[in-house]
Formats: sequence, C-alpha cells, structure tokens
Amino acid sequence: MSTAVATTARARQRPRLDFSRVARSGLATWIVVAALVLGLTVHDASGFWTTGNIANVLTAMVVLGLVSVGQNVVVLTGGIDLSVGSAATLTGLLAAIMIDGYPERAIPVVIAVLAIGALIGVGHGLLIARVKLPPFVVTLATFFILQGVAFMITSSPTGQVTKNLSNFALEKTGFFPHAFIVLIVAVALVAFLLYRTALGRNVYAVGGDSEAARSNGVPVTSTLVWAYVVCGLLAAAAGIMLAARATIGSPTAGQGLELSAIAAVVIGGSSLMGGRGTLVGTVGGVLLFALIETSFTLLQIEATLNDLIRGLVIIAAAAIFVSKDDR
Amino acid sequence: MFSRRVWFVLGLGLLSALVLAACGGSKEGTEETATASGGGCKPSKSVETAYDKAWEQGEQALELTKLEIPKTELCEVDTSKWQKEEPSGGYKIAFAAQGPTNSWAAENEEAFKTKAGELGVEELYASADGDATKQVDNIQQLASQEPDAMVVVPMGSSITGQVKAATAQGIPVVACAGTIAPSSGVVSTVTRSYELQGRLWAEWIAKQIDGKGRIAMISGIAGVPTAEYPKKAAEELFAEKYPEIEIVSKQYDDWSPTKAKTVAASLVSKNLDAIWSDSSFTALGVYEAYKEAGRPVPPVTGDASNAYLKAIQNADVKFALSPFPPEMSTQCLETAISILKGEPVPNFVNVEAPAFTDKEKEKYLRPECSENLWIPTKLSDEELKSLKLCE
Repeated sequence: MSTAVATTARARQRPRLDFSRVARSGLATWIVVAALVLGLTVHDASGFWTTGNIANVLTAMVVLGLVSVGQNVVVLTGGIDLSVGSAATLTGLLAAIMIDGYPERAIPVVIAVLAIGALIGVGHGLLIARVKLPPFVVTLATFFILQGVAFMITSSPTGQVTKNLSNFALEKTGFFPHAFIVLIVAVALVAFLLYRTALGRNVYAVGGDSEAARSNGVPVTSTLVWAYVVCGLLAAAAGIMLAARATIGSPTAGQGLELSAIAAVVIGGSSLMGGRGTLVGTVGGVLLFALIETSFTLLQIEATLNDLIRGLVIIAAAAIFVSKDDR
Repeated sequence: MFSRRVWFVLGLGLLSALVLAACGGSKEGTEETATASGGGCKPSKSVETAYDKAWEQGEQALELTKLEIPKTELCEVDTSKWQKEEPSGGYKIAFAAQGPTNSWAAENEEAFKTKAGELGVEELYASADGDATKQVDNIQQLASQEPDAMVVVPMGSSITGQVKAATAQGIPVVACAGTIAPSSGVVSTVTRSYELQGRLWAEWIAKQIDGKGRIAMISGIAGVPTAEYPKKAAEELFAEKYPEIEIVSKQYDDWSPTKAKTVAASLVSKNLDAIWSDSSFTALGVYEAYKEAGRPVPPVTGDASNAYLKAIQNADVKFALSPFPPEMSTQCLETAISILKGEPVPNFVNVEAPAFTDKEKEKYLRPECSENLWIPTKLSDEELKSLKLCE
C-alpha cells in the first residue's frame, strides 16, 4: 500500500509541461506563431511565402514593435504607458513639420524628436516615482494632452519628410524592409539594457517588489525614470517611422497604438503586475499581431470577422499561456 | 540629482538639435501638382463642366444666388501607360476600404462588391477598420499581390507615402470618397468635393440668417480629412464673405448621434441662430437636443440619411442636406477600369448627388427603409433588400 502511495507521489513529481514556465520564458507566443505559420503554409503556401508577403509581415512589425518593446520595459516595472500612441503621433507630426522637406534638417530633427520622446518619459517617470501618482492616471492624462497638443498644432496634414527618410521607410531588398533595421537595433539595445546592465536587473527588481528593492539599495526612482525614458524614446522612434512612411505629418497617425502595444506585451507573457516578462515574448506578440493583420488581406477573410478573431486570439493566448497568478 | 542631470542632458541635446535644424539649406520639391501620369494631364473643358455641374445643382437646390467655385486644377489624365488587356478572369482590382465600421461604409463596400461582380472584376479587399495606420499596411499588402489597379478610400493623410510606393510600383491608384495628397501620384480622385460640401452648407446657413448672427460648427472626427476639409472651406468662406457671422463654438462629435446630442445640448443655451454641421448624425443630435430642451431647432446642415428624415418627418425643422453617397465606390471602380483600358479619365471626378432642403423632405424620405440607408441611393431594390436596408 505504502509503495503504491510513494509511486503515485513520485509520478506527481515527474516533470510535466508547465505552461506557466513556458509563458514566462516568452516562448509560448512563438508556439502560437509557429502554429499560425504552419496553418498559413498549409492553406496558402504560394501566397504566404512570397517575398512580398514576408516583407509585409516584417513591415507591419516595425512601428508596433518599437512601441511594444518600450511598453514592455515599463510593464516590467509594474507600470503602464497609455500615451505611447499619442507620443508617436506628436513626435511624428513634429518631425514632419520641422524637417519640412529640408534634407539638412533631417538628422538634427530626428535627434530633437527623440529627445522630446525621452523628455516625455522623464516627465512620466518623475510624476510616477517622485509625486507617487499612479502610472495609469499619469499616462492616461498625457495620452489626452499629447494628442491635444498635436491637434492644437494642426488638425490637417502638414509638413514633409525628406525623400531619403521616406525611401528608407518604404523600400525593401527582397523580403527585407529596410525599416526593419530600426526594430532590430531597438530590440538589441533594449535586450542589452535589460539583460546585461544593472538597470535591467533593477527594472525586474522594482517590478517584482519595489519596497523590497528599495530596502536592498535599488534606486527605485531613477529606475522608473529610465524605464519611462526608454518607452518615450521608442515611441518617438515609432513616430518618426510613421512620418517617414506617410511622407507628411498627420495629427492622427499613431492613434490606437497603445492598446495594440499593451496587448502584444501581455500576449508575450509579461505580467501586468510587473517583475516578469521577456523581450522574446513581446517580439513574439508583435509578430503574432503582424501575422494576423496580414493574413486578413492575404486570405481575403471577411472584414466583419477582424475584431472577433483578434479578440479570440488574445483571450486564447491569455487563457492558455498567461500564468494564473499574473491575471 | 539624477533626474536633474537627465533633464539637463536632454534639454541641451534638444536645443542643439533644434539650432542645427534651423540652419539653412534648400527644400526638396513638394510635387504638389504632380500626378502619376508623369505630366500627361491636359486641360479639358468637359472635365471642368462636369466638375461645375455638382456645384450648379447645389446652388439651385438650395436656392443660393451665387456660389463661388474655388479654383481647382482640373485636367484629363492620359492613361495609356497603364493600358492593359483584360485577362480571361477579369481585371484584378484591389480595394483598400474603410471596413464595415458604420452603415455608410457597409453600403460603400457592398456597392463596390456588387459592381465588381457585374463587371467581372476580381476584387482584392482589405479593411482598415477606420484606422489610417492599419490602412498603411493594407495598401502595402494589397500592392504585394500585384493588382492591376487599386481603389483607396483614404482614412487619413498618413497613407500618402504608401500610396506613393504603390504608384511607383506601376499600380494606378484611384482615391475614392476622399482625397490623398497629389504627391502620392494618384491617377484620379473620385469624391464629392469637400469644398463644395463645406461652402454649400455655409452659404445656405448665411442665407438663413441674412449674413449675420451666432452660429456653431460641429464636425466629425478631429484630424480626419473628411471632417477637416469641409470645415476649413466653410471657415474660409465665413471669414471672407460674412464678417458679421460669429462662430461661437467649434466642436467635434465623432459622427455619433449620441455624442452629437450631448454636444448640441451644451449649445442650447448659447442662443444660436444656426448650426453648421457636416453630417446628418449631427443634425439628428441637434434636433433631439433642442427638442428635449423645448427650444426651436435652429437651421442645420449635414449629409443625407434616412435616419434624419425619419426623425424630423413631422417636425418643423429647417435644414439643407448635401449627400455624400456611399455608392460612389462604383464610380471609383469604373474609373479604375477606364484607366486599365487606356481611356482618358478626369484627375478629379466631382460626384453628383442632389442636395436638398426641408422643402423636399417627402421626396427623399424612404419610410419603408431602415435608418441605416443613405439617401438618395442608386442601389437597386434587390441590393437594398440583400443589405437589409429596405423591405
């Protein structure tokens, strides 16, 4: 009898497929991505694996990827940035207005616009870390403020980016869109920051338990400020890419990006409570969204099903892969 | 301490960059007047006459004495460079649509689909869900499937670059129910002129109040060209011709009757003489807000929906409606086919649709049809039934 009990106990202790662990590693999203790619290959291999379609998927990743990677850093600290769409809109608009077709202005304006994005992040970080306002409230306010400023500047299209900038955003070599380089660089830099620096360790520590982190000597305030600076910087980079792709400045270009970015981060296995999540997962989430979007056009799926399918994918991914204690 | 350093470095970087940016240099060409025809656009009297016709109808229907037509560059595009023999399966034409986000768009897309079926065209469809950012990707995705031509219902100015990329790829693009910057290289624009809509409503408002009084302007969605351009045209006209008209308030209602009612309710106390609006969603909200407040409804403008006419059919309301017909998508498709056949097309097709006032409300009301119907419609009874718009 006792032997039987011991055997059962051992059986229970055998390593099993742990969805939570897979989710936390960020690999879960890639399983969904692989399944989707397999499905699309079986359904329409000749359409899916064309260089044009691969380029479409990669292009669709660029802007969403930039804001999602930034959002991921903020979410890891236990925060949220609802203003990334508005920040991208405003910075993209400013870039087009300030460049206004003068090639000499392109580089300094890009630097200036990135600095504006970083300044937005500093403002967020200070209000959250110093004034102790909730991230949701702060970034919801700036979501409206930044969009409002964009509309104050103009409510119709204006400005003009240079040909070089728009060519960079629109051209591709084979299946590889040149703009994708920006996402690769951003992911590499943020990965370095998160996994190879003290700041990265502090981000996880603050997100896990900010009080414990503080008592262990982690500079919570500066960590939070830096996290929001990275997010603001990447939102500005997304704004520049939006303007470059549009060739002109639009006061509505980045609307709606914030929700897609948060969804990509959550699908990627990051905990909205902070302290847990990976860049690999977030990039997987972005790729998943890009695949879904491009598939609608490729497969000519009924437009009325768009939102339904997107919602089902999010809820399915969350239900299967997001750890219960993260919900 | 840390944050001060960050502020300082960022501020300094921003300042230096702005100083560098302000340094001289020469501006790249804006190509404002360029079209994909590569200069093959010649002046045409017939194109000008067709353009003016919609203005003349509006002027007569709204009993205006003189509706000034703003100067617009009109010409006939030589499309021989896109001429293509029709494949056995028919032309493949991409349709970068708004997506069925409201009844206008649903009708717009169904009309396109039906016409494509009639003409033996293979339709390649993409829905933007009303989102310009998404439409940028849609256009790239459609272009990668190498259609013979593309029709785009523009969701915003941010699609300009991607349209330019599509035209550079050799795909003739028709802008439908909206405009895209000429630098994008669109071959033809098929829409009801925004300036016509904006000015027509503005002149009618001015006439109702004898050129002086207090008005409000309510537009659809901030930043969206379909809302911004008619508004701009009206504002310019008021400023130029009617200095005694005071615009007390300018609001947006997202083309939502509920929001329109809330916005209008906030205006009831302002003693307005008239309300300029770009939509019958707004006109409906205005009617309901004033009715609830027990105040007479001021003269109001908008486009033409059955929902509005049904609501006010027994009420004494002064209005002027100028339709923005959803089925103009069929004209867009026909223009795309003309391009592929190498036939000359106008660079701008000003879609004709009868403007009317409250005096003709019985003529246009469709009591047997649903509130979702946009009037007057050219769709057949069968099509209206299949769309569940009419019994």
